[in-house]
Amino acid sequence: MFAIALTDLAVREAEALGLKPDAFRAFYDEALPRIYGYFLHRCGGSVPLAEDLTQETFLAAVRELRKGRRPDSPIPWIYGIARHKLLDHYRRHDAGDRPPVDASDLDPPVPDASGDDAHERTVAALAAVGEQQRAALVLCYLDGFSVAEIARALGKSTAAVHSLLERGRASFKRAYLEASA
Amino acid sequence: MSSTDPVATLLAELDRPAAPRVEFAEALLERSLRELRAPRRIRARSRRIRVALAAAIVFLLVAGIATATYVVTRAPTPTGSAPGPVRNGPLTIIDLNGDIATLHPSPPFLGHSRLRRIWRCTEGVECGLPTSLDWAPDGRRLALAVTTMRTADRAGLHVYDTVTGSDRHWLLGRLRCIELYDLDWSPDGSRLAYACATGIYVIGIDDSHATRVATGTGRTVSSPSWSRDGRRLAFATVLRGRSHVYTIRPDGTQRRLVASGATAPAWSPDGRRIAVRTGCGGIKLFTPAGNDMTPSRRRWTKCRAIGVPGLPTWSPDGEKIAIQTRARGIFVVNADGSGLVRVTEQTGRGAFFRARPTWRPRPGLPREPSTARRGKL
Repeated sequence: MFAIALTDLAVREAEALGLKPDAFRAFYDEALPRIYGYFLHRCGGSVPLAEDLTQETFLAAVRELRKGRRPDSPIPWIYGIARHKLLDHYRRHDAGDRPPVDASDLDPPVPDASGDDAHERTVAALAAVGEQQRAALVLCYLDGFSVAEIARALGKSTAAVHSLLERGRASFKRAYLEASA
Repeated sequence: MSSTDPVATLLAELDRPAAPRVEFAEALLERSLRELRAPRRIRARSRRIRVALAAAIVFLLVAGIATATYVVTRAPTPTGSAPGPVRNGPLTIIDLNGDIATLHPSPPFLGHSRLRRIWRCTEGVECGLPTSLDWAPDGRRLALAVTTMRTADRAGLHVYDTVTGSDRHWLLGRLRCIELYDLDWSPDGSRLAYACATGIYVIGIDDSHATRVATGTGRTVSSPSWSRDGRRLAFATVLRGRSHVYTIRPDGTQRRLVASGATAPAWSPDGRRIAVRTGCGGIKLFTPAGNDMTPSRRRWTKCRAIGVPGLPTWSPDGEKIAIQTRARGIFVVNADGSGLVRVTEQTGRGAFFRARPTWRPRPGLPREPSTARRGKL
């Protein structure tokens, strides 16, 4: 289940969403910040990676529309596509834990709606966590996956997922406190 | 995962929209719209494919219906079983002396075969004279119609079994005829049809009495010939001075005209053709529905007949037709009209001058008698 409330998009857009450019543009304007933010916060604030995954998601959605798919609820539908893209990304980078990203390598702080510093620190702390640990944390705390679902999604045992979550929480706390200092 | 976990609380705050770079947003929108327009061409192409497929299906349906119509009207398939691998045995005739003889009208004997007598009556007229004969489809039994001049004890219909030597005999009274001719076995070997002065009759091999076929055409009928499935009989009749060939069910129903100006029908083994004698110089072939399918080898003749004028008899394999002429002997011609050859000068017409030769089928034949046996086959 997504943490974001998905019911704020009017159902009427579902009917309008089709192959008409105007309808698609309206859908795009509504969905793009959500999908982009979804990837940006789950990928440790990496703008290029978030843009790549956002592009993959929208092009996949367009291909589905081109095949005649008419989703009843477009925003949840494209979130579903985004989640699959994210899992694919996690699996592609499942060659073992990579070194944590140095905070200095991150892109400039992402402006958010609230302008809260805590948000930036959280993003920076998550970026500092190793990739596999970050994937486990994101799937657990943002996407609401159970341990078994995370294990299935990442192709790992539940024990390994427990370990990832444990180490990830510790790394995240440490990075967050360092960022706050 | 506890909801009071500070990590969970912090991470949950991450799920909020973020504004991408304007260049990225515009570029992605442009590309998405471009991709979105692409399916129109694809759909147009798939529409053309669907139209082409529909046209192909319609064409196949029309072609199938046309083919089925052609098959039904031009060459109807009999409902009986398909012809088996039956080979042609010797041609069996009644010779000038009233004896039964065989000859081989096939290579290497074609046109040069010598008559080989297999049955002779040694008791003169008392043992009777054959008037008609026909080999059963099993190639084992020979039906023989016999007439006598003085005594009636041997007259009638005989069915000789060449393996057991038995002789099934029906007296003329049970056959409701004084003289019978044009014997024809049903394809399953269970019934015999014949003609006599009072009409056409059918008798089962286990029956004691014959049954008359009510042709509805008067008594001047002849040449009954079974269809492949045994459900119909072809026969000839004379109406108002003109010969006609009909088919009819043995119960006298569903009479259908096959050809006019024709007589002596012979239904082919495959059931698709009926050979008839015509008055214009030979044999013609018709479908049971009455369509002329005579091979067109002799276009210069006025009716496109094959062979020579005479009484046709099909070979068991359906490839050849033996033709008995009135005075020129017996000829054999291929069913496509080629290879006409005279195989004997004997007419083989029997006591009443109406007998036709009969081809012995060869589905696992017993050995033929090495020498002529007197009074027996």
